[in-house]
Amino acid sequence: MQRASNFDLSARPRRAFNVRKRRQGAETFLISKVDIFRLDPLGEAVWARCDGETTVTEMVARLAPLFPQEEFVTLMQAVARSILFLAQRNLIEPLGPPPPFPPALERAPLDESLTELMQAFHRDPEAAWDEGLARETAEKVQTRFFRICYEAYWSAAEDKRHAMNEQTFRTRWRERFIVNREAAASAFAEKFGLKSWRFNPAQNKIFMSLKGSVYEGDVDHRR
Amino acid sequence: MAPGENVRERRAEGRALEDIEALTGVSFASVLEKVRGEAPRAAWTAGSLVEGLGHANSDIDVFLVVENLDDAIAPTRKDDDVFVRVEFAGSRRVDFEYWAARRVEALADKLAGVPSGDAGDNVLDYFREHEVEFMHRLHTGIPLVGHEAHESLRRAFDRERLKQYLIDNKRLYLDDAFDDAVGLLEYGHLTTAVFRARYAVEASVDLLLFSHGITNDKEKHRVRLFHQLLRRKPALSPVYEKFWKVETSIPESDEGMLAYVEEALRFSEEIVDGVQRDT
Repeated sequence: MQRASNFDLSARPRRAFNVRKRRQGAETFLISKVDIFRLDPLGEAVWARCDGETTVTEMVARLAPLFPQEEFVTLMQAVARSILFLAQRNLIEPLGPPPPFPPALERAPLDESLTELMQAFHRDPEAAWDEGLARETAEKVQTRFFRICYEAYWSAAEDKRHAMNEQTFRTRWRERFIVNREAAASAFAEKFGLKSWRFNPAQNKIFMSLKGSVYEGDVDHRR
Repeated sequence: MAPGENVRERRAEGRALEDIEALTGVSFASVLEKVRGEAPRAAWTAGSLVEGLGHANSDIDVFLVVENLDDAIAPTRKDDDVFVRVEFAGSRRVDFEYWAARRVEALADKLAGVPSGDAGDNVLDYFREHEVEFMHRLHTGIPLVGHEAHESLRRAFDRERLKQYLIDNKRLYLDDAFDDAVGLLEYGHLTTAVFRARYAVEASVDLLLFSHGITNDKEKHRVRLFHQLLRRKPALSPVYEKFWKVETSIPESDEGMLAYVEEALRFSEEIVDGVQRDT
């Protein structure tokens, strides 16, 4: 974690898109989902300059005339602390690189449309893939199935900032399937090179034929 | 010209009575004949034709303040102390909207006492839609009968307070849409998030229009009101161009939609930041 003392002054902080700033009377607040943060004058000035283009050094230089009572070094430390505060609360975009994979969903309830989409690729199309499975097991199989595909999607995504999270990935495929089942199944096959898959209850493993190779994974595994 | 604008719109802005008569083929003398026996305190014409937002087939709207509402007026519709009578002058529809004097006084008092959103009061839909429309049209209308009474009514309704109420109210809708879009995105409902983000931009543009003294809050007129504002404030052209793009260009790909939501929310914030600085 960065500290004010070893702060990267060449960083170009950028406001997170999902935060809004509002004035009420003489006070200014940042609202992020259900959290509210009051900004002091320095915080507000820093926030205004988190445009993704201004380095921290430039920011301090531009703020110095507005806070003439502060020594330059003191002002720099105050700006660094403000930015760290904003970063730790996800009010600005991460200062470092994105994670290799977004965290896996803790739980994804069994979805009927996704169940049918999976059935389109089941190795034995005459047998319902979830037949005889306890609901909890079927849920885990489905979650693992889509997590494997999601990781393939994420790895291939060139623009990670605008790549879907796992929840959105699942929802979008669900929506596509509802709108047009055949087109969605065809697109899914093309996108992931999925030929077929099966679940082996005795081994608790899922086997997926993806892009010419067979993936084998434990359904209880979370990346 | 701004995208979506056309030459006719430029000519239409801010018509005088004679212009409306020429456009519609209806004389206001003949319109007033229909209310001759009713002795209104004041009567004025207002609405899209007066504001330069209408067209050759638009209805004519006339507002009247009378001592009392009674069934002798023969209303077509009765609504919360307001009577509306629909008539036709030739083939032109004319809507007469009657307000009782005491109702108007009560509304003026309500505007004078409207809470301030800036002080943390919740003003959500404090006024009903037809009340906002009355107050707006009082200020933008052309008097037909009782010019002094009409002017007195205008003074009783502080337009700055109306403008501030519209800003405070719209901000509540905007914030709701913004937070909605964020939440929907987080929980995977991308397509719905797209439309809520777009609405956040629309609400931000409404905020911008209100902050420049435009008190017409009808969504259908938003684009043309923006055109009118651009003629006074051409520096807002880049804002308009971006607004037009947001309205008309929703990407098809998932990644495109994600980027759209982000850009739309950032744009909304940019507009609101400008309004907060200027008001």
